[in-house]
Amino acid sequence: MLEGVQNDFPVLKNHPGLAYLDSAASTQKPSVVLDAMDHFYRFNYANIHRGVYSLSEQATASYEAARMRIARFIHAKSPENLVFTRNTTESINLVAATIGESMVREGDEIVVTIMEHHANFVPWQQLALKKGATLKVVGIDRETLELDMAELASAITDKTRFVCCTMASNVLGATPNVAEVTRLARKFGALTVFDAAQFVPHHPLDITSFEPDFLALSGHKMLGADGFGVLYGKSEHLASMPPFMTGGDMIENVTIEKTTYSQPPQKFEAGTPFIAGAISLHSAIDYLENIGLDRIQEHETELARLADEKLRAMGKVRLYRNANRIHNGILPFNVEGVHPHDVATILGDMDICVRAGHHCAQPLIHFMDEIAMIRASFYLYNTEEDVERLVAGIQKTLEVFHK
Amino acid sequence: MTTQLDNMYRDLILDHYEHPRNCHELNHTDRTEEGFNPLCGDHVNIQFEQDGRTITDISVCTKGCAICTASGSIMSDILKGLSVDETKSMVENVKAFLTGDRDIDPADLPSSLQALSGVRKFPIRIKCALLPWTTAELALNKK
Repeated sequence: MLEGVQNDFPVLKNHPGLAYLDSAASTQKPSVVLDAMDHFYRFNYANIHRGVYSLSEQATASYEAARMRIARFIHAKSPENLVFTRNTTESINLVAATIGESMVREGDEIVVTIMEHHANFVPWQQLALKKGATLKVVGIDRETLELDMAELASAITDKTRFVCCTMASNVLGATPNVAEVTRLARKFGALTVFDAAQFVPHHPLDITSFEPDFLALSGHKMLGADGFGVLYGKSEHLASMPPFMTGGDMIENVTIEKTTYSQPPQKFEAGTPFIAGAISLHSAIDYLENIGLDRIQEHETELARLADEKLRAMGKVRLYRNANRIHNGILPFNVEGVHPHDVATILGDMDICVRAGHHCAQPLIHFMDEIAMIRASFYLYNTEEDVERLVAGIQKTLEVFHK
Repeated sequence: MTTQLDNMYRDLILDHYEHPRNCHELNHTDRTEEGFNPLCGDHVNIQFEQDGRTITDISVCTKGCAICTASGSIMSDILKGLSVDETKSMVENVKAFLTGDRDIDPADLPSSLQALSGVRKFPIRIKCALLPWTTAELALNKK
């Protein structure tokens, strides 16, 4: 178990007794990340890629150093494979609106999974509707709550243009075999788009092991600032894709008649970006790797396992997961006879922060015949005391509802 | 647990949650509307049966949290027998009462509604209590 990590997080120090079990929604920020952003604004701030003065050069260097650091983190061939966006949602919308728009024709197919966060579902659904293409939704095995690989294999055909798949479900924590997903897609020449937002906070990621066409992540789910995301794209795609948004910072030459664009990744980064956001993720990755993602995973899994065991023992709690598979510190459950929103209100009143609702994954919640769920998610700064508080909160819920 | 929470989950609320009233089939449906709360997945279906301008029967079926379900159930008891115009002004008053937008003397409201007052201390839950009422309003404003 990790010790003393809580001290690195000012929010946790400022709220003693708070059980923050909603890191899958967004994580708290360690002092080093806050300091890095603060330092940038206090000492080095200027706009990037423009000024010829030294402050702007420094800012540009910091911004591009972040690109290099993130590229190294996911083992991208070059920093130029990384486009900076606002979040995972924008990264995926960028793909759908550019190469998606140009590749998908009437009668084509787009394959997604039922486990997708709306971010990797709705853009593809909308593109399919617009183009008269078919959206194929691959289910999960109801026993194991893992992606149904046989169904995926039969869903992909020579009409499939994109296969869009999460690397870790934000509801179930399940982690599909992405190498197999890529292999199946490539057999039919389909491009892959992976949502890595819930994966990268917990696991080392080496994209050379499965070579995705596109991959998206968000900084705020891994201790970085909110409002900063990343899109990885293979060079050949980025080179041929039309721009997503146009305007400042993405042009090569503008005349009254026409505009030529910069090379990727600048071509996809119109307007002044969230420079401090890039710096925050650089610092967050340093912090996470310094502790070790393997150790973090071990820690959160141990806490989730403990919570799982204790909640199960109460008899009135239904956990949506195989007892042997604890993924990414995520624990989805319901309390019998009590709506998740009421559970979350009672827990909230006791300073226990969980998510209740459809978790931006309505198709999955419906597939599982539920209206909503509660999700407790554990991360590096959680403790056994947080588990005890959660259990006490559920006990209180049962009392309030006379269960 | 705080008294604020006690105040919200009163026995009357829990009773309406466990045993929601008036989710049933009507002889004929004159107005119907569906309401959704995307935050938590609450869903309410409301149907009115009318004789001229009088609401002779109502069906409220909710799939949702205790607050939304109880609110819809309490509403169904209150609205039955009112005229459409009376219903509209009742909905207006209840909305104002729950949101605190306008001063409403609780004594002017049916007593069962006062059980819902605890929700006012939980801003994020006011929406749950409002959903049946705003949905009824949409139904009544339909031509």
